[in-house]
Amino acid sequence: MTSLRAQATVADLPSVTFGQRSLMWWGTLGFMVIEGWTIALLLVSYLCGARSASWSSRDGPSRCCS
Amino acid sequence: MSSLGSDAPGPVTLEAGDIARDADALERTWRDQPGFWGWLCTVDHKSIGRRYVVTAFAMFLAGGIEAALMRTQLARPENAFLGADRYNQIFTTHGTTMMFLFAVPMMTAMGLYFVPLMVGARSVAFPRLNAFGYWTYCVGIGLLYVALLTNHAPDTGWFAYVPLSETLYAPGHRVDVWAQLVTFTEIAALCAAVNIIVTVFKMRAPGMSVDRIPLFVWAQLVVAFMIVFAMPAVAAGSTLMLAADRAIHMQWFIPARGGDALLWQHIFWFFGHPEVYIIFLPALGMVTPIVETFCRRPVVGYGAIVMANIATAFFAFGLWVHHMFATPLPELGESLFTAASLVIAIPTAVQIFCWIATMWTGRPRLTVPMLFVLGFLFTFINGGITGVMLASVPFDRQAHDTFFVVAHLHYVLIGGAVMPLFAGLYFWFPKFTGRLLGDGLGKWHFWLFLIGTNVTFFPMHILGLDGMPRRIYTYLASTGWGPLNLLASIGAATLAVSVVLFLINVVRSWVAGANAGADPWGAPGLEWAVASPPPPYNFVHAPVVSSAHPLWETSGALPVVTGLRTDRREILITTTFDARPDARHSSPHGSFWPFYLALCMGVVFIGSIFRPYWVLIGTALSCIGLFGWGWESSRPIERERVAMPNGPVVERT
Repeated sequence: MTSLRAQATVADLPSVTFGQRSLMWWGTLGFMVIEGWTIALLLVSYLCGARSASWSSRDGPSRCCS
Repeated sequence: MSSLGSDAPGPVTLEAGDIARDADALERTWRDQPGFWGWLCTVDHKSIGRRYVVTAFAMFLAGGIEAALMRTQLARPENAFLGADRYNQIFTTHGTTMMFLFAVPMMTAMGLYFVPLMVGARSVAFPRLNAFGYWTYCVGIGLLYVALLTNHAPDTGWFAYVPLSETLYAPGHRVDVWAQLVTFTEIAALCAAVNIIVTVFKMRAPGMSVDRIPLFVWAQLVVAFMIVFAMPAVAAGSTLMLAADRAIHMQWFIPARGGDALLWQHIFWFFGHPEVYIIFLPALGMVTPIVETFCRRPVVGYGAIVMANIATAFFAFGLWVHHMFATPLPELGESLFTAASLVIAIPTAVQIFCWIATMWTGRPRLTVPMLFVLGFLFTFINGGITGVMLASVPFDRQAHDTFFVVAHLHYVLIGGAVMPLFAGLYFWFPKFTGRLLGDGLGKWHFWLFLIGTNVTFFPMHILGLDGMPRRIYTYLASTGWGPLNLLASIGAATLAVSVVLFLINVVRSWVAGANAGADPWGAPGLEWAVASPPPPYNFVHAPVVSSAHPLWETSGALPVVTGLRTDRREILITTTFDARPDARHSSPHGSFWPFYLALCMGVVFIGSIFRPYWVLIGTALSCIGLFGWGWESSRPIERERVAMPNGPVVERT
């Protein structure tokens, strides 16, 4: 077994923390970003893409990029 | 021994007997329940990671068998081995399997297994979420392969372009299977990404400030952020838009009803191009520790490699339109995306030059992992150069949808991801199993794989330039494409032989390979400080880190912090940037609910293919699972009120 040298103890640290000191806060933030980003993409798709009637090369550039 | 933050007294070397006693207690606390129930309910990141790796490798084999079927069909002109319909299903399943069921899960699997070990943590941040992601991924596999075996596999290519994939041209449920399979992969990848981000941010060993994070972990962190921003695009596109177009007659992509077919390409490739880097950056992350270990020196340019990873991730989101140069785009847009496609070669080149400089100034040993790294450099650089060619609009218009593109993407993905992955599997197999992979068979595997890759895919460049389109199930003899296709098929057979040799090596070594010990290579990372395979709790005490290469730069005993409880699952939380110890949190025990909730996801999404009411049924069933999950979660917090500031003092349990 590897020999170990104890430098300090963490026994007196709190076992419940809140805000950004908590894992759950970060996990929740992660899923909020994911869901918010999904909705943002849907909105952008609706507002700038999906309302175009023309898409073939005959009709000129797609409105998605024009 | 000091409490953190106080100065005296100094470090204490722990007695072997005390360490053994703590290890025994931790073993009892962290091990899974015995038997099938324990196996089903495990939340150990190593069990889940190992399962993920084995399952993703099985998917690599399945995708490989599909590739072999395609190469058999194309080996000679006008071959009747596979019909057109079956061929369409197989090439779609091959692409979908390799991208969604092999490459991304395999890379995240390696992260889920190794990131906690490399940052000195006992587990991942959210162990049950990890198990849920894995089971969700398995439901996706079941969906695709049941569909393939029942002649209902998707047949519109792995990117399911509209209008081909709309109900008008693709009636039935084949495309629905594809759209919902993608959903399962997204969920699994997003769960893994959040887990990895929070584990790296909050669970690093004391002292592991951001400039000491191992480069594999950096790559995993950057990729996790890429997943967070890329996967929602395909979630929006496939699950919410394409499936809605098909199931409830929305009109996102139907021009006749005011939709836009090109929107699909935008939204798919906004995910799809970063996806390539999601596969490829973790592979580059594997290369660095291998080069360091076998050149016996720290990598040249740690900071440059970190910045290159971040720059690659940034640019990866700005060049999706180069997949769309054959569509009507404004010229300014084409120029911008050409420039972006060229620019992304720079950070990749920075990494490559850093490795070359490391090898140049080190003492390289040509072990099997190192051979695969050299094979990666050779093959990937070739693929990268054809990528720069394809960034040019006039060239891309000529080569679009030809075998040239097939050659390019296979050079990049096999060279840039599969070869580093094999290097990583040879390097870390001892950590997974405690045994070394055989060297002789490994070298045979490497050479046959390198030769097979080049013999299979190099001729495809020429076929593509000669005008052979991709995704055709046969061709006329008069085209003259027969000999090069036959050569490519011979190359594919060579690849198959090499992978069989690898499998033989794995089985033989697993059963009777040489014992590896904790650190068979003399490597510098923390994962080598624990036994092989690692115990369920990873580290008896959390290690303290004072450099980016802790095992090389620590003389004598490994510095640790003590004080985490051994009688319950407890993990150390550290601050985000400088990794100072901040709190002790509980970590959950094994749970049935992740598996149950993954099945409920299956009811929701697979059911929605057939009848909308399955969504309601699946959601109602999910509520039971969420309740059970939350009920489990609430118990440890209640017990831990003891340590809340200003909270009531309660006896610890």
